[in-house]
Amino acid sequence: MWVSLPTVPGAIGRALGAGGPKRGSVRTLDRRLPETRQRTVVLPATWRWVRAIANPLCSGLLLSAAVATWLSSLGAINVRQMTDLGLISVLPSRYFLAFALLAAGFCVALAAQPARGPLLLAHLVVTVFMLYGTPSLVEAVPRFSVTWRHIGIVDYIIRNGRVDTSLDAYFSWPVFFILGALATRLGGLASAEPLAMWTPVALNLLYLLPLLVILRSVSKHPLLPWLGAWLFLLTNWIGQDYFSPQGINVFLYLAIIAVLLRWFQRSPGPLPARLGTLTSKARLSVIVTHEGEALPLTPWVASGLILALAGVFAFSASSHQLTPFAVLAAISLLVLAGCLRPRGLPVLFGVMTVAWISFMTTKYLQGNLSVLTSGLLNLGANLSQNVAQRLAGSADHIFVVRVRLAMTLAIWVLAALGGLRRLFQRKFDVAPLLLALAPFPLIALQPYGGEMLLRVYLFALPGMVFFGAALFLGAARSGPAKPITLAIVSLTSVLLFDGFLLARYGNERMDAFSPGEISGIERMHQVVPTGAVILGTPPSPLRFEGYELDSYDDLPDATFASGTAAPVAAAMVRAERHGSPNVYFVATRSEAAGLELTSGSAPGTMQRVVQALRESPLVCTVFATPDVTLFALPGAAGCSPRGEPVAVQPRALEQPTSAITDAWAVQHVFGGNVQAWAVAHNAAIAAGAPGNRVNPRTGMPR
Amino acid sequence: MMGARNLSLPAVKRLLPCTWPVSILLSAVAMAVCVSLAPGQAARLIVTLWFLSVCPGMAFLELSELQDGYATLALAVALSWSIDAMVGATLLYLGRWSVHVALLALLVLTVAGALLRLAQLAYRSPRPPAARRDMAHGSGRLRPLPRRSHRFLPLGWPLAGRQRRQREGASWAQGGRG
Repeated sequence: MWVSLPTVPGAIGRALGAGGPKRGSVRTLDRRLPETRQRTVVLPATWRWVRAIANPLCSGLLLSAAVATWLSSLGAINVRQMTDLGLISVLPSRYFLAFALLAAGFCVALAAQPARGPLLLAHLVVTVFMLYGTPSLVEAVPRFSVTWRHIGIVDYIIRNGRVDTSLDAYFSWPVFFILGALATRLGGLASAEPLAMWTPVALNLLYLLPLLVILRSVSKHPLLPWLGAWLFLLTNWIGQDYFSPQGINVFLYLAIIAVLLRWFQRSPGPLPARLGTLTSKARLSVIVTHEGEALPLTPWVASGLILALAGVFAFSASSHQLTPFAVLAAISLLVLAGCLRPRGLPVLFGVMTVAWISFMTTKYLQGNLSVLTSGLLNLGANLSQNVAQRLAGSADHIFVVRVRLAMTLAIWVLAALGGLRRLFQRKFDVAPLLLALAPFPLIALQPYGGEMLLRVYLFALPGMVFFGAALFLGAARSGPAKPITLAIVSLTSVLLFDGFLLARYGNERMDAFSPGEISGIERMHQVVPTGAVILGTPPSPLRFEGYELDSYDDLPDATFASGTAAPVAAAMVRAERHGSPNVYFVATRSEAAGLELTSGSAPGTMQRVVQALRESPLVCTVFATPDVTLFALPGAAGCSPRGEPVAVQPRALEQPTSAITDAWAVQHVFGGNVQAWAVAHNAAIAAGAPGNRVNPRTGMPR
Repeated sequence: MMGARNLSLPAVKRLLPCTWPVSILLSAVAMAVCVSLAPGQAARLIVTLWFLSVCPGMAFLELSELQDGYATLALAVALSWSIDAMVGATLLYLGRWSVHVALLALLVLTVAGALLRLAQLAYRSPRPPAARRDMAHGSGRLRPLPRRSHRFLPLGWPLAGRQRRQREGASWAQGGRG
């Protein structure tokens, strides 16, 4: 009883489990020995053992090699040498080799029979670290200027213990920042910066949980959830997963949809019944509209889950402007199509959204109602703001923007083809289709600062990756993926990986900050007095301290076009005439990069402006570091009337109102010196201040 | 060796449902200790993030005994953040913002949920041996448990469980979850 193996690759393929049992030994034997066609061939025990162990062993080895190669590549990345193509311009070839190994390992794991969940999950986790954690490892401080602004809002809440809706729109949806303040203070941190550093990795790991549940809830294919999650990680280039309300709200969106599909899903019924008698003539009754299966629930547990979902949605409605509408659109369509049981849920969520907007955001609405309603149903203008206006800047940047558009279209085309393939296989997946389409009406509501298309792409991604994975796997419910399928998946993954690096990290030259920039801005915060006006141009890591104390204004790109000092000095004088005696202009490395990247200014434009300002008698240089230069009008704090820099006392921020004031004081007032703080603390108590004395050596209460 | 021999597979199965509530209780204790004694240490940050992200939500979700691990964990994280944020927002809008009070409220909620779960597990009645014997002999009839007046009194739960086990003379492992 033996099985002939025609070729070495075939043997390897069978050893890895690719092609399923029918493609293995029995089939080969049947072709060669027709007389034994009906016989059942039992593989030798050794061969079965090899087959059982070869796949996970090979996949695990590839995974380990990928991790080792990736870690070894990190030391060769120098972010200071980035070009306008972003991070990809400084990545060594070992980084790409690491991903190739990872993709190969993942495809080998897909070939396992039966599917090995832990192994596939390990590949996804490593993918998250490799794709989303690399900047956290090679850059010293968090990316994105908005991240630093969010750190400043958390700092504001920690210090003041309240929100001020007149300051910013963020304070009308403040709950994310309240959570950030709690985590920062309870974690013993001086600021939310360490949290922000690893937020993209943490959030993408968290996205995997509900995403796998969603994909498993709408398909019985054992590999589709894993391949769908893999595609999700390779196509989530939007970059909304930083320390932000929207980052956490994407997770809430996925979690709500996952719970509803896992426990409250129901069959929408056969197509002819829903589409009328015409479709029955087209023999659509054979099309399966529902492949998922809801888990059983008792009425009490179902009520508890709805209550939990209401709590989660309350968090969403009070922390982000857009996500509640995305959730509402998705579950409303699912309920209307008959895919979900609790029909009153959209009403409940709608009431919660309207209630929050009506009662808690009135101050914001009063000032911005015209802005909010200007884009309503103005589809052309909204699309123009989302697409056409982004096609500007340097040649490399325009290439990056085109790659982003190509990535968007690529996943949508893959999804469309996958949907067609499913349809030809008589599967009409109503729930994933609605999830993929539900966010699109949001484009007609408003441009959302030119970002609505990005958000629509992100919210539609779970549905899109379902169909993208279905394109490769088809509708088979069992069996490993075929070798040709795995080869196509590998090739597609490598292409998507390159596109991902360009699309996600294409702006990295201006999105990444150096430690010198952060320390320079810290120094600026110490110099400028309360009520100062600070001029600049995005992006800069501003406002992470004393959020409410200064006002900021962006200068238009045209101000720097001439490369001279006069336009900037004129803008500072105009700002001074509006009432503030302390007007500053801050120039940073990232501002210079942003100017060249997005406005297409000639290289070195900002440097020329800075040099001209330093030589100009109109302004004085308060301080200059390699990455940050601060200018002021003569007479402002830090600058004498003659235009010479003078020393100023650092401004004192308000003490936090929380009971935990000691850690704050140690960090902010005593620079981390616990002993110095303890001596001062005990002296204050001896002078009559309330509180308990502490051990001067350890800083702990006696 | 004796201890290992006594830890039979049914005993492990019996203890498995207690894993989450016990972990949550230990996390709550660790959280309180870290905030009180270890300012500014990495362990404190890890414990804080774990506690805030998982414990409050999981403490209550465990009561539902949901069957999907991934979905339960995802919902636990979302629910935990919601509970944390609601506690914090309530204090902030009431003008009583205090991280200590927020932590105290979260600890109370979490410990209450975990204790409820432990009580729920303790109250689970094992199937009476006699009833199982009836089933084995093919009569197909289960004898109902004797009615107890203190059945719905929370304080009576541990007592009720112990009395029942003594009376029925069977371990939980034999009866399973009932």
